[in-house]
Amino acid sequence: MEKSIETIWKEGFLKANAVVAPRLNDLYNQKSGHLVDKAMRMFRLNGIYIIGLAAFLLFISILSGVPVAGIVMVVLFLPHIIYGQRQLKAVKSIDKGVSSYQYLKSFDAWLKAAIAGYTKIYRFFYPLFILTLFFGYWFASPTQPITRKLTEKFPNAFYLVNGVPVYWLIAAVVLAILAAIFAGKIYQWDMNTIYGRVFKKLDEILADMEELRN
Amino acid sequence: MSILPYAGIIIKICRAYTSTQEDFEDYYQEVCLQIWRSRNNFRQQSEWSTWIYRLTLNVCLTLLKKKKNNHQYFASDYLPAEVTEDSQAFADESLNQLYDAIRQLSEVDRGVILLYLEEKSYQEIADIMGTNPNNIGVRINRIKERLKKLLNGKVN
Repeated sequence: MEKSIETIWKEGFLKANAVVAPRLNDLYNQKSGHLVDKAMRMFRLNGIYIIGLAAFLLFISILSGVPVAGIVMVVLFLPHIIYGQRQLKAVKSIDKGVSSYQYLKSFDAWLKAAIAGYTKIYRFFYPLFILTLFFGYWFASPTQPITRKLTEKFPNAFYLVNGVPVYWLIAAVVLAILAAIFAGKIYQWDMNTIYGRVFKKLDEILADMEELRN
Repeated sequence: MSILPYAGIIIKICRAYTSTQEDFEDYYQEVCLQIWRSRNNFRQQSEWSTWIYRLTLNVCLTLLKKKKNNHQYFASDYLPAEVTEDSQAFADESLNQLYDAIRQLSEVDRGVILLYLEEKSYQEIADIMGTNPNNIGVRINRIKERLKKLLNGKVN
């Protein structure tokens, strides 16, 4: 005789080995695969990388005789570090024990806020970084022999005003403006490459839950 | 408060969101890890068991698995349409078939039907999922119809 779904469930789990729990291995040192924990690790590591990169660029700029460029780079990286720390606190506060809808909503809201925040930072970071690189490269002592040779060989291409190559400066400014305009798109593309499927899945689950709520 | 009495429900839920023994063990460990890490957030506004159900479902819904090709996906993205490696996870053949069918449902529907089969009331299911209890009954009927189809009418 055919059984009901409920009977299959009940009878199936009455059998002796139906619910054998796997052995827990070294729970204390387990590396988590959970999204929130991954995000926390990502922000923590990101902060460390940025501090390391800023220190490295400052060191290189001092060696190259353009400490101002290095200091500007450090200042440019500061909002990243501060924002990353704030996001770390925010993601830590997401409670996994609330209802699934509330939990997914909180996570989704945090994710969207984090992306929006970083997009704003990158809108300023990309152009300023490009201009700092341009001036840093042009005035750095180790590159002086190259720039001197270039200006002598191609005087028309390097029309100098107060030692600054005007055409190249214009090109760098245009590039910086484009970077500022497309900062959001570039960051969105970057995030979608890594987390695109996760975003899509979260949206699908939330849409399904919302249908069930209304 | 111990999770030992609730190991059964954690296993039942994790099995529904995974397709291999390896994934299942990873999910089980992850849920236990998250319960242990979040235990101080339990505020006794709900039953300990309800909190465990919520946390287990939430972890399963948002757990990422790193696969060999180094991309990150939800486990369910890997579920084939038919039989999974976990098709022999239980001693009872009918239960294995039922699980195979449950794995083909959407993430939300899996959560709803698991709670229903655990004899939770519509109100409790709605509380755990954060949805409207009025819609739960309709959804359960729809899920049961889908399961019957997936099981080729072998159930009544």
